[in-house]
This record gives sequence, C-alpha cells and structure tokens, in this order.
Amino acid sequence: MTKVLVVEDNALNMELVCDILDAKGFSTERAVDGAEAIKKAEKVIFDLIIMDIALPDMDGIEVTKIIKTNPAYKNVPVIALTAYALKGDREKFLEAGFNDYVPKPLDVSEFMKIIEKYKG
Amino acid sequence: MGTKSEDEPIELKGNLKEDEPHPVETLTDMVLSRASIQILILIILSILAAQILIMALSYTRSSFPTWLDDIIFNPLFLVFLLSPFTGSETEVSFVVFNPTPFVLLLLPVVYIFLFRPWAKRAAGRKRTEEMRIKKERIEYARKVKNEYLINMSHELRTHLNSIIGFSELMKQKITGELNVKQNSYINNIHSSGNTLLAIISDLLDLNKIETGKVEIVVEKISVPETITENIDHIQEKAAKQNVTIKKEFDPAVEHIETDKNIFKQILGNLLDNAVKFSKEAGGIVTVTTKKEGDMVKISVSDTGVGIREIDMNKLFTPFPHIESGLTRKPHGTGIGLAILKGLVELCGGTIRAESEFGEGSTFTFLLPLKTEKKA
Repeated sequence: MTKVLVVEDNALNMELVCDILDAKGFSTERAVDGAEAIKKAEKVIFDLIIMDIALPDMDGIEVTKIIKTNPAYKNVPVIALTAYALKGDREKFLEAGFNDYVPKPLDVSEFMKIIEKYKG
Repeated sequence: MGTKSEDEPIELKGNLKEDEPHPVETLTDMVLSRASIQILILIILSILAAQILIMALSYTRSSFPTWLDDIIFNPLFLVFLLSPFTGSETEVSFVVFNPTPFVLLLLPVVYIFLFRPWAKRAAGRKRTEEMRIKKERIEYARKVKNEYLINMSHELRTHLNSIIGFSELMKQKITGELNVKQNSYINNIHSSGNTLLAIISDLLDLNKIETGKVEIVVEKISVPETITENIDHIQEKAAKQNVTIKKEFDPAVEHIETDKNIFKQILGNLLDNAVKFSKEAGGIVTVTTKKEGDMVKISVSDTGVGIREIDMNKLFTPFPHIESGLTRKPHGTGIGLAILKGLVELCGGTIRAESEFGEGSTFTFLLPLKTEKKA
C-alpha cells in the first residue's frame, strides 16, 4: 500500500484530502505543521508527500527541503497542495522542486488523476 | 507563509496624485518664506546706507561736525525717513528731495526679485522631498493592497476547498446514495462554491487591469476569422437555448492590430451574455462589423430580455446589482462587464450598451485599427 504523508494545518482540508486518498486505497499519515512532518518523515520513509505551503511554523518549501536532505527521500515525489493559486504560482512551486502542483480549491477528479500517477 | 508586513502603518491622507502642477509662489509666500529674514536684514542695512549717504551730502554742504549724533538722536529721524520732502536742518531754508521713502518702498520688491531664484530652488527642494514621500506612500499602499489581495485570495480558497471538495465527494456518491432533495442541496452548495471562486478570480483580474498589470500583445488578426472562431465556440450552447447566431460583416473590415486573447475574451463574453439572456423561446444574436474611420465597430445584438433603463448607467461597474429587468437569474459574477470595459480601454477602444427592455440589447465596442502598445 502506498504510504502518503499529508501535511496540512486546516483540519477540514486534512479530512478532505485523507478521505480522497483513503477512498483511492492509499495509507495516510497526518502532520499538522512543519515540525511534525519532519519528525514523522524521519521515522518512516513515505512513498508520497502532499504538502500544504502556508503552515503555522514554516512554509512547505522549507519543510520539503529539510525532508529532502535525507538521501532516502531523493526520489520521493512531493505534491504542493496550496491555496496560493495566482498566476505564476504553479511555475514558482514547480521550480522550487515540487513534482506536481494542485491549487485549492482542488478539483476532486483532477486530484484523483494526479495521485493515481504516484500510486505504487 | 503569511506575508504580514512589519512596517508601521502610514496614514494615507491627502491627494496622492503624482502629477500635480507646480504651485505658483505668491508674493505672500515669498515674504513669509525663509528668504524674508534676509530681505529684512537687507532693508535695514539699506536704510542705514541711505541715511549715511544723505547725511554725508548734508555734511559736505555745511561741514556739520556732530553729524553722527544727529543721525542717531534726532527725533525727526523717522519723519525724515518717511517724508519724501523735508526741510534742511540748516538755517538755509529750502526743500531738498529725500529719496529714502521711495527706496524703502522699492527695496522689498527689488529683493524679492533678487531672491526669487533662491526661494524657488528652496521650494523646489521641498517639493521634491514631498514628492518622494508621496511616491513612497503610493508604493507602500500598492504593496499593502497587493499583499492584502494575495492573503484574501489564499484564505478564501482554503475554505472554499472544503466547501467545493466535500460537496464534490458527496456528488460523486462516495458516501452512498442521496435522496432527491439531498442531491439538489449538495448541487447548490457545489455550484455556489464555484461561483464564489469565480468572483475571487474576477476580482483579482479586475484589480490587475486597474493597476495596469495586464500586458497586451499586439498582433495582426483577421476580424472575420476571429469572430467566426468565437461563434463556433458558443454554437452548441446557443443551439441548446434555441438561439441562432447571424453574421453581418462589413467587407471593409479585414485585419486589425490588437491583442488577440483580449479581443476573443471581449467578444466571447458578449456572445455568452447574449445567449444567456435570451428569452425562454430562444432568439437571434447578430454580430455586426463596421469600419468607422480608423476604428472598427463590432456589435453584438440580441432579441433577449433586455435591460431596464434604470440599470443602464451602472452596467459597467462591478456588482451593479441589477435586480429589476432580468426575467432570468444571471449566472455571472457581476464583475464581467467591468472587466470587459477595462480590457477594451486597455486596447484603446470604447464599449457601450443600448437596450430596450423586453426587446433585446446591443453591446458595441470600438477598437482602433492599430492598437498602440503603451510603454
């Protein structure tokens, strides 16, 4: 089963994303801020990370960089799931090293298609 | 990543226009300026100089030994200063001309003219400083507004994510079957969520146009071809509502130089509205082109529900709240026509609407044959 780490501070959005992932047969682990995400990513090597950007303690780009310092995460895809959805944001996040970018509010079918790509 | 500004809030007062005309310095301004102190000193010095000159003349005439005492202690000193004609102090009684009062009157004028360039430079420096502060405030206001819009958009999208996302999941019946009412309610929630999302996008677009952030790309386009592309795009939707689209093209209108995407957006929106506000039974939408001098006039006429006269003048403002006159609920965001007006003007054109309530509406926009790209 594909292990996914979902980093999201908004409880409702967390529930939504995890419900979709669960329905699609992923195994989900939740982290509500950057520190928790880093800690959980150290214990278990996940197959996929879904990363919110505006987190209470640090931003998702930074969290991803820290997690990626672990060589085990070299090829683990990270998807940015963010409400920063203005023109140019997609390019900005892809350039920052995210494998995919999903703007909020997410299109459920579109999101399902994207995560399907990363299912092991 | 909440981009909260740590700067002290600056009160934004007064006129923030950058290109105010340079104020004309009046005589009062000049006298009250710092230059007046120097003028005053010079006037006093001049009075003394004039006195010495006059006294020196008297001295040579009568070999007056205590002339200095006379200048300082003579009680008639002031009278002498101020009266243009005065009797000589000597026994010889004849009237001499005393130029001092004239000199006194003339001096401020002379000095103001002497100091004018200096005062102007000082005022210029002050002005430059004021302009710099104003400019900084404008910049700051723009920055704050921009951050505000980014944050607002982020917050609204975060919550819309739940509204649209959960309702979508229910619509997909992931949680099980819904009864008819539940199905209808969830569709309402989902569609309202999407409308809110469209409003946010439109507001940001309008802001972009208003702050001059939309760049136009001018290229040569074929008007009939582009319009036909637009019509093809909406044909299916029109057919569903029993609306026929007609073309009445002026053969003189062929190519224009403008921004193709903006052109298509304007026309597409007008066509969309024309079909959307058609009558229940359907109708006819006519797209007309006409050459008018160095402009091209494009009209989209419909035989739809029309707009009441009372609503006409607020048509191109955001959220016009048209309550009367539309027999069908509009599905737009209420910002669409304001955006169109901004886009047309960006391309150097104009847009207007005419309508007869119950009969139909005509939206006309004029674009220059060649749009000049603003530097």
